[in-house]
Amino acid sequence: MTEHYQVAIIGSGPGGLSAAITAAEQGLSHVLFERTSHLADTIYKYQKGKKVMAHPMRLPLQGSMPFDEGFREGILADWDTAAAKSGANIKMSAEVTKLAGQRGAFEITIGSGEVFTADEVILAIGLQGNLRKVPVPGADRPWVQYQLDDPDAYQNERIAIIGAGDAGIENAVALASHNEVSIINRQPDFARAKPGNVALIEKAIRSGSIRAYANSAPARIDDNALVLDTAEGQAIVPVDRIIARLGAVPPRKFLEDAGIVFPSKDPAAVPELNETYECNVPGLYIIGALAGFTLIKQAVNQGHEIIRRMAGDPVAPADEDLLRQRFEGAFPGAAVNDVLAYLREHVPVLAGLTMLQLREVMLESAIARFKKGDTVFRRGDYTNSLWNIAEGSALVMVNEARPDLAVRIGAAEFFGELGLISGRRRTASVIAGDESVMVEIPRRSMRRLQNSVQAIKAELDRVAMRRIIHTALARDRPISEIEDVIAGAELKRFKAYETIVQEGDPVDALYILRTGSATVSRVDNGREVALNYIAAGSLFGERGLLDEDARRAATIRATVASEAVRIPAEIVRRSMDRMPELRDIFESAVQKQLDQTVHSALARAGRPETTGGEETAIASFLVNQGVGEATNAFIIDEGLCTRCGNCESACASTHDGISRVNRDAGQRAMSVLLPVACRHCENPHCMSDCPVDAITRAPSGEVFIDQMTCIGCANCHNNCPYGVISMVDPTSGHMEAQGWLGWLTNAVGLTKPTHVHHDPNAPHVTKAVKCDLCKDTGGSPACVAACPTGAAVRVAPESYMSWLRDGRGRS
Amino acid sequence: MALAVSAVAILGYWLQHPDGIPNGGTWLGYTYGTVGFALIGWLAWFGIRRRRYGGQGPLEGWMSAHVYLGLALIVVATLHTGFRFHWNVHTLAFVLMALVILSGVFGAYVFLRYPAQMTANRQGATLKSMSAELAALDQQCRDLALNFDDETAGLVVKATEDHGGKFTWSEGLFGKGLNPLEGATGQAIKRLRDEVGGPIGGPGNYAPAEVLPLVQALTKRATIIVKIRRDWRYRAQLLLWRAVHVPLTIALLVALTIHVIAVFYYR
Amino acid sequence: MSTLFRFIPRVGASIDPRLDRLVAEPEVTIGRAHDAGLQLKKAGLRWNHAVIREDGQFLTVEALAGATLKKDGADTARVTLRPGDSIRIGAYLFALQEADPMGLADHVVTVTAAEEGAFDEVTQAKSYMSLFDVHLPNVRLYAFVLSIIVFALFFIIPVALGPTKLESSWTTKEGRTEQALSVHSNMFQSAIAWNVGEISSAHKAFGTNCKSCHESPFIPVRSSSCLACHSGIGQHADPHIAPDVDLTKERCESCHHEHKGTTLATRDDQSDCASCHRAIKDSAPQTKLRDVADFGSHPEFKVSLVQDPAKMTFARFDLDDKDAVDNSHIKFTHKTHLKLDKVKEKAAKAGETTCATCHEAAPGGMIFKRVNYERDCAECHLLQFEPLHPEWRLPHGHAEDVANRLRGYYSEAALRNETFPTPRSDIFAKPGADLPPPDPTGKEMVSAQTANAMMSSIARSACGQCHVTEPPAPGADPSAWKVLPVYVPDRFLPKAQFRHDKHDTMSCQGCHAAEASDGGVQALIPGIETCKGCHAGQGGAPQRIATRCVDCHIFHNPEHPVEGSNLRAAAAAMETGK
Repeated sequence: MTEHYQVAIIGSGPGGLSAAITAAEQGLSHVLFERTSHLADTIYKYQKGKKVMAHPMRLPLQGSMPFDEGFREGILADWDTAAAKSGANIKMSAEVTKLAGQRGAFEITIGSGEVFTADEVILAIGLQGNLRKVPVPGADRPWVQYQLDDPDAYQNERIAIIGAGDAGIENAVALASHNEVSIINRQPDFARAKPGNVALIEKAIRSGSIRAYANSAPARIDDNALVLDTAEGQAIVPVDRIIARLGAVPPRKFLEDAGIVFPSKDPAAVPELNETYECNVPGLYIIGALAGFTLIKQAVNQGHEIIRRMAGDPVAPADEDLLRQRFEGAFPGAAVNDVLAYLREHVPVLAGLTMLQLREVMLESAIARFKKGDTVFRRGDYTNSLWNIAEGSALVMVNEARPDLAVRIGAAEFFGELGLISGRRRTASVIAGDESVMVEIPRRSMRRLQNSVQAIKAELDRVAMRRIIHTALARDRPISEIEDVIAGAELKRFKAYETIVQEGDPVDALYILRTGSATVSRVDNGREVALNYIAAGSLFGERGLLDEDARRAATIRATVASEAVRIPAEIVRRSMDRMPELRDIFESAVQKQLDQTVHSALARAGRPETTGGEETAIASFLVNQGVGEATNAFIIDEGLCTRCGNCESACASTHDGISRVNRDAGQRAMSVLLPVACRHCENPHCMSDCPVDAITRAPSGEVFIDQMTCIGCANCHNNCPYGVISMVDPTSGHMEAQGWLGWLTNAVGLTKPTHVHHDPNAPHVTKAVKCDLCKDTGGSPACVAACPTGAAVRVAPESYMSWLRDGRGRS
Repeated sequence: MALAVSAVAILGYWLQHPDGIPNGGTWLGYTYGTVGFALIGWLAWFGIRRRRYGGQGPLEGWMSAHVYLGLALIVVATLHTGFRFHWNVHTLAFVLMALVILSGVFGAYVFLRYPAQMTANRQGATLKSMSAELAALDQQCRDLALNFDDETAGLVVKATEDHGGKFTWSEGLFGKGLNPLEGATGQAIKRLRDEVGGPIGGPGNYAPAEVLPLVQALTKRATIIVKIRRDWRYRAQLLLWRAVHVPLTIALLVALTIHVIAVFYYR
Repeated sequence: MSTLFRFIPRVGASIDPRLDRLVAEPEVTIGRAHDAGLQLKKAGLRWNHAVIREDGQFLTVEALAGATLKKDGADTARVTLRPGDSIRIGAYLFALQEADPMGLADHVVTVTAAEEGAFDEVTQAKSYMSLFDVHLPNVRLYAFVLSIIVFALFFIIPVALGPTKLESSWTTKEGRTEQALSVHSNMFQSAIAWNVGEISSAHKAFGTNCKSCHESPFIPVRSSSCLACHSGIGQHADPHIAPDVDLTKERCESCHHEHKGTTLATRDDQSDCASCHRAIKDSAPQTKLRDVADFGSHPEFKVSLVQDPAKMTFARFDLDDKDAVDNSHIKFTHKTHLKLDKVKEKAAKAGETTCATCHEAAPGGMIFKRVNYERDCAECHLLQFEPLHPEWRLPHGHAEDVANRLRGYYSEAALRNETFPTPRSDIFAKPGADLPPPDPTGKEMVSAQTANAMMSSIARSACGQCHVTEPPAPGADPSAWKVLPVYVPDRFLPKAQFRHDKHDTMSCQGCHAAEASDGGVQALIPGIETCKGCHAGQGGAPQRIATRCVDCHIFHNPEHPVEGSNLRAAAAAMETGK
């Protein structure tokens, strides 16, 4: 006779455990199977003393299972006691080997061969239980391991890291300081990893502290040696230890045997669920990491919700209140589900999402009602969210002077995609066309959506392109008139430093830079002279477009990975007759460029000591340093700099004694120093994955971190290619005494420099700090203001050239 | 501005003789005194202003004002004394002020001149990179030396341990001329050139091709040392003058206060 | 023999087979040399460091010239290695193993890094940095110390140091003990720290006692402090004429500056004088003074002329005042006298100016001695009265003396029975009148002659020539003539301080038109125009001497002593001063 339960829970992670505890409380007959001999194996395997975050903070915790921000040990202890107290029925060391059946008749077989039956099953096994193993002979040796608790535990060993994902890289780098580390990478490069980690590992490889085997896969593992299959044949790597970080995947086989259907072949794919977390197998619920919810709190809540529903007193989902608040403004008193339904129906972008996805997105998005004529956002704002019109319409003021030409965007359409894509300022203001409801989806959620729902990305690109061309070429005409141009246009992607237009080539096309930036240069008696800088959103390559056999007068190179819309010349020429104003656009552009060149020539004539050569050298140096993607970079002219360090101390004392500027680590060319300091990129790498949205861009352009919300996860720190974000204890700064008396007295130890935060036994937390352009202090950035000789400047790329020509040499 | 101040001051002094004997006691003298006092106060405030960040606009303007008004102060204060000096706190204050201004002038000169030179000297390198390079070269020399007989190797190792010694302030100011090829380095190179790499029969007699890299490395590190020392000198001078300027300023403030108290106490 | 050297690249690491070295020679030299059997290019190894030889189933290691081996930390030159033994050569630990199971070689020696990092070339860039650091000397410390020093030296000490006491006293003839000054002073404070400048020699005495003048802090020196000693100084304005002008309120300091060198600095510009005297009536309504702002605009001088020599009253007249009254009661003209040959001769004889024959500079150089009969006149004015007896002279004195002298003379004559023609009153009388009664004793004759002589000589010849005389009242003794008292002041411009000695480079006539003067003193006193020949106002002028008020006028006018001023007394004191 097999034991029967109302509900069987598999996996004692946050989700499973909270389900079990609730079940116990609700008096449901239940059982929980845990593979290992302890609860919550994933968290159990965290590095000891690891801080566990409890975000999203605003999400309330449901059920009686305790969980709050804290340290691994504490949390595990809490859970053990909670489990014991609730009297949940937990079977340890019971690995479920087989799961079959459906609602009312599930059969669960465990390792020992015992079989249990249950009406419903909750699958909460997460992913870590299923680490990818090294699929080669010898992988079972004791010194082949799959995680790294404490890098310092290993000294003077020869260690091979298999797998070049983030985990692998982080381990490798951590170990490299005391060990002889090699990293084995199946790919030619580290594309899979975060840019920050890529930078780290590449640096390590260059410096020789880590040996990398690219395009290689382990063949077998011998004593003290790892044998690799490389492009050049077999290679033997002498090792004392192997650490394989191949990631974790859903135990596909096990799940598919249970009848669960996956949307794609991608091993990382997540089974599709309805809003009650039920998968295609009736009565089988999937929660937690396995369902794609990586946050502990989510899992805990889900476990709780499901059981409550089974027990017949369903609770509203944890995010219900939050969503209601979000909707309150636009739909006072409306039921959340109604609003969600409404959105699904009126906002195409959201239509394709599952209820769960939708809820998640809406948690971060905003719904707003606008009266006719209300401003949605202004030209030049640094916002980059996507606006969707549920009802009503919006007017894009393509030409501020001529409201009559405003482009009307109707219901079910979206706008603001340019900002979303290019990360640059809004190119036009938008006002509500009439009484309308709009949904603002922030950049982060949008990116997540784009990746999960391919259709959205395609649609975005298509519309974006239409609009770019329209604003650039025919803003004064209805878009319908340039359909042919749009049809002929194509989106081209360029790698950093890739040549877009080559001097001397025939003029075959017109370009509109969509993302990234580019430099214009010309070979001037044998020397390449940088002429100009092109920012995203601007038109280029138009020169000479008017006559058939013109040649390119200058070379244009992408400074960073960029995208440009390419419109073949003949199409433009054809439409030229139809749209004479195009001619003016081009001519004025040409005129501008000429002026530019003349101006630079004059300027140089004025200052003979600066040869164009030096300028170009510096210019290209700046470009190589990635200043191209900056919007506001900190530069020091070492011809004037007295090395007084005032900029740094200024920064420090305006930011709790922690400087965000580092001159020593900066790069130099000629007399120009580019200190390590934030350049407030157009498309900030740092903002790409902040779990708590602590790092944001102010409408005025400053990229800054909210110290309160920052959880110190160091994602931004790792993602910034320029290393301008430092992970420090914000309370560790010391403030220089400012009054002269204090200054005097603390020289002889009568007084001490004041510690910013006086509580010495406050917990030591590291957080990310970076330049915020002193947006809160009012004035200009302290670093620049504090420079006694005017050597330090903050300039936008558009003005580097002029700064190089005229700005420098003042003294 | 500053010129105006001093001009007015001089003019006033030249036109007005409120009294047979010019001195701080006349109304004109008091005027100079007050102006001078105000100036000193303001100029000294710069020291604090320098460390008050954010808000008051760019420091650059303050800086130049600081310099020019500082120069103007000399005129005003000198006229205030009416060219009468004695052994007392009043003259002390004046002398201190003069010294402060002198050091300031030197500082201004240094600030104008050295940054460019320093940058030129560094040639894009940093002190860190230079010393790293030096360290690397030393290592390289030592490694290369392993190929040579004990005596030569010994000499080279000795050479790599010579970094021109610790730096002293006087050196910072007057920069001792340092010949890269004297001392141990010189000896090592000499031996390498003349004996080891020399005619057959020299100990080990190596082909010049073998000796050359070591000689080059040695010379290179020697020149780097000179570079570093020069750089050090620049930095020293950029800092050093303040070691005079600032303390004297504080002392001046004290003396000045006493001066004022004394003068008004005994009127 | 053959030896297999197996290397363990780092402490704790395992053998790296790729590094194995098999040497098949009876004798293996270890060192950096190219030809060494086991060449190890490592610092700490000599060119040829050691040699390993087979010794039965053991190995002996022998150090070569100049090299050392370490066995258990001790230097040795030669060692026999048994399996398990190890020896340190340079940075390596050579350990002889049990015979190689694989039988690759006769001996297996593992070579380990003797200590951490012996194998890797890590460059110590960091260690260098410190060498090149620039450390700014502790500016603040200096600042602190320096300011403390200054403060201590120039504030604490001066304030804290108790005053030092210095007294000077003496005993007078009468045996009284007088104390001139008792000074509490603080040498350092006053001499060095705070003293703004040298003290005038006059005040050196209490030079170091600031309090003796600076009585109370933050209050300018009070005039009272000065007057404590300088009690006798004259008041500037005549209290009778200008009672409302009280210049004692004026601070001494406004004109006199101390601490300006050995001489007391006195304010010498005239702006202050001008401030009142430009419009003097405003400050002293009843004054007769005229407005003056500068020597240039100085009004013509006024002379003080005697009105009543007896009462010693003066009146001031313009130099060119026709009806000026001068009652000095002397008849004298320089005109006539300077013409006289005798005067010229005398001057010539004495080699002096004609003036000097009568005028002798008085000590002090300001004025001249008074003209004196015995010295200056008697030589010519013999005062004879009887041509027959020129040895008889009248005394230069009072009228009675003169009368007595005459009486004496005629009495003698009477004794000698000399007769004198009786003064004939009736000389044109009718014939037949009576003759006077005969005078047997001659008594009548004496008195008659005396009276007669008195009249003639006093009224005319002797006294009258220079003096103003007065006949006896009718009916009184006819010989009772009077000679009116004479008063000639020795300064006619008493308000100025003209110093003749300062002008002795010039001739007297340059200023005094004596030859032209026939009586009337004004003519003799030069007008301001004369001065302006050489002098100009404070502003100065080409070839003119810049002249300020104080060059001629004293501020502290001794005529008006500060305490209870009495003009007449003061004046008398002045005039009678010899």
